[in-house]
Amino acid sequence: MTAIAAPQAVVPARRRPFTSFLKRDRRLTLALSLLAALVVLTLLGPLLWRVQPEAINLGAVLQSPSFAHPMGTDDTGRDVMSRFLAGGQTSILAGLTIALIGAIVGCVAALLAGSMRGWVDTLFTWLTNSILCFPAILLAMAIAMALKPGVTAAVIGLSLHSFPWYMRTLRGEVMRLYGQDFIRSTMAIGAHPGRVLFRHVLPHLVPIMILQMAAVFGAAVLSLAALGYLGLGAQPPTAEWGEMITEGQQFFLTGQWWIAGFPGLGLLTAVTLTTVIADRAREVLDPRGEFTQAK
Amino acid sequence: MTSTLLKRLGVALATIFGASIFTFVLLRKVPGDPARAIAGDTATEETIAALRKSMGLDDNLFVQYGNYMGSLLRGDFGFSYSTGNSVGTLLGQRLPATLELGLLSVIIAIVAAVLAASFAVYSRRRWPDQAVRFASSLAMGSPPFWIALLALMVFSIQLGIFPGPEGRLSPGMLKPPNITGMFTVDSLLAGQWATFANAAWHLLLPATIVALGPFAFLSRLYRNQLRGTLRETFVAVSQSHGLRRLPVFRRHVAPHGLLSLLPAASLLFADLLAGSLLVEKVFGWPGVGSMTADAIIQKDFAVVQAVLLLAAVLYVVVSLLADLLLTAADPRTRVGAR
Repeated sequence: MTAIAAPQAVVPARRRPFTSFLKRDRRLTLALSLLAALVVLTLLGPLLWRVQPEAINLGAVLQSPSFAHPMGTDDTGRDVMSRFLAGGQTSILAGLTIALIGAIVGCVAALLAGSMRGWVDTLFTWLTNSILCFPAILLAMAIAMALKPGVTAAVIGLSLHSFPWYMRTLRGEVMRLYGQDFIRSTMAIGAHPGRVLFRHVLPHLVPIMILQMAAVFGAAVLSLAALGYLGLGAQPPTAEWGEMITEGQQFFLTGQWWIAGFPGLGLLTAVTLTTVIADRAREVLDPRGEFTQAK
Repeated sequence: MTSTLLKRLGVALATIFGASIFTFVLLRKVPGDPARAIAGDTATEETIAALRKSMGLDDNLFVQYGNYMGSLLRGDFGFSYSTGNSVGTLLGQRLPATLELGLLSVIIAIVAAVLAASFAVYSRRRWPDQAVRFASSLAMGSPPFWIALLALMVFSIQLGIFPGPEGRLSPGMLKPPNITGMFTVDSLLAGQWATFANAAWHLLLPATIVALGPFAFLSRLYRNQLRGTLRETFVAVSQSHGLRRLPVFRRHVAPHGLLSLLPAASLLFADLLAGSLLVEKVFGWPGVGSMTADAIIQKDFAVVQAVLLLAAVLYVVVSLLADLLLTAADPRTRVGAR
């Protein structure tokens, strides 16, 4: 009898390169590269397009787009393109800040509440409920009024409303994870609670956090612009897309569409792309469709 | 059932309590001195001190909170110094306009979302689905105040189909008798057809724009629901029994997902105070939203405080009601049910 040598061909499970989803999902790739282009443009654009966003030129007032001013000029002769780039920088950086602050605070709160349970959980849930029952923009407006209206106050207000979103979703996930066998067995063999938390629970939260950051970023950029539009966000002469729309509003209706038109288009593009990316990324990061959308 | 109800009620009350503390602390403690803000920069120290005393600002914070909540419960929302009216009167005047705008926009959003999502899922091709998804991404990403400006430029100035930002009725048009405060409803009740047409004509464009965000959200939700339901066995069974696709979809699949829209739609309605805020401002709509925007710029604390609290209470109450309705309709959602 010839022993059949089991052909234990050890083929190492080939890990798919992290970027493989880009090849599979063309639309995601397209949206990602467009958004990246927009971000790079607003961050690096001011280095290439060297016109001061605050430079007033009363000799060139309300000019329509031309080679000298690709996006035209406003009522004091300021170059709309330079303001568009500077304003995009404000909007995008502030949006990122809000998404990040919310993610960090919300994640810490969720880990505390989800792992300690008891009164900590009750307290955090109560806090979350009490904040989320206000509409984000109303809360941010009230905070901007209480502090000094400006980008900082807007970021504080919107971050305050963004962390409970993270907290709410992440808390549920932390609790689910603690009930899973792999966590329970890790604890059973005596792993330190901190190790369980950071080695085993935290990494599982990353995909949800990324999805939520995309949603929060989009909503934050829009709310920030709304605050700017109402005069509670960035204060003139600081360029910010929402504030630029207010400045161009009166001219919008009389035919000089470019002053308010381009910042609005910038907002629309940035937030729509974020939404598309979040939508597509959900299929990569959350194939089981478990996590509900933030807003 | 009773314990479910009590539990939900308890959470709701606790939430409102938290929200009231929050608004109170935010607007009493953070901004420094409300009396100084009201009296203005030119006021003397004595005036400010007298004002502080009359507003009760020198009391202990707990006493202030107690007084504030006490007067709230008696229906006294405070005094708006920038308009010289009590906040209760202002809200009474402004709320119907916002309610009218909000109700219509929720209806538009739900109808459009259900139709769009059904179309996307029922036609098994790729493009309708992609189109609806893209439309909802676009609606989600559009800044409402900018879209409102754009719509005014195109529809009212260029094409002249819709009225400009002139409020709820054309200038010179008489208001309908005040019954509910909602002009479309009141004019219908009074049988004034011309007024109804005029009010509806003014309402349609802002309501559609307010509906954009909710539409985006609901159409996504309903699309996912429908796709999930289509995979259920009862669909395959009905079809293998010889039922046609359309009747199965219309009678069994579509209503199945509507239930899940209930909590989402009610929360969106509760959020409308914020959603209509900017659109009201652009259209000159005399609602709570534009009032709040003005009050914030005027630093009118009483108004802002009342609106914040109103929004919070509205949100909590509506979500509680939606919860209860859903519990009544769907036993699976009851606490402790397995």
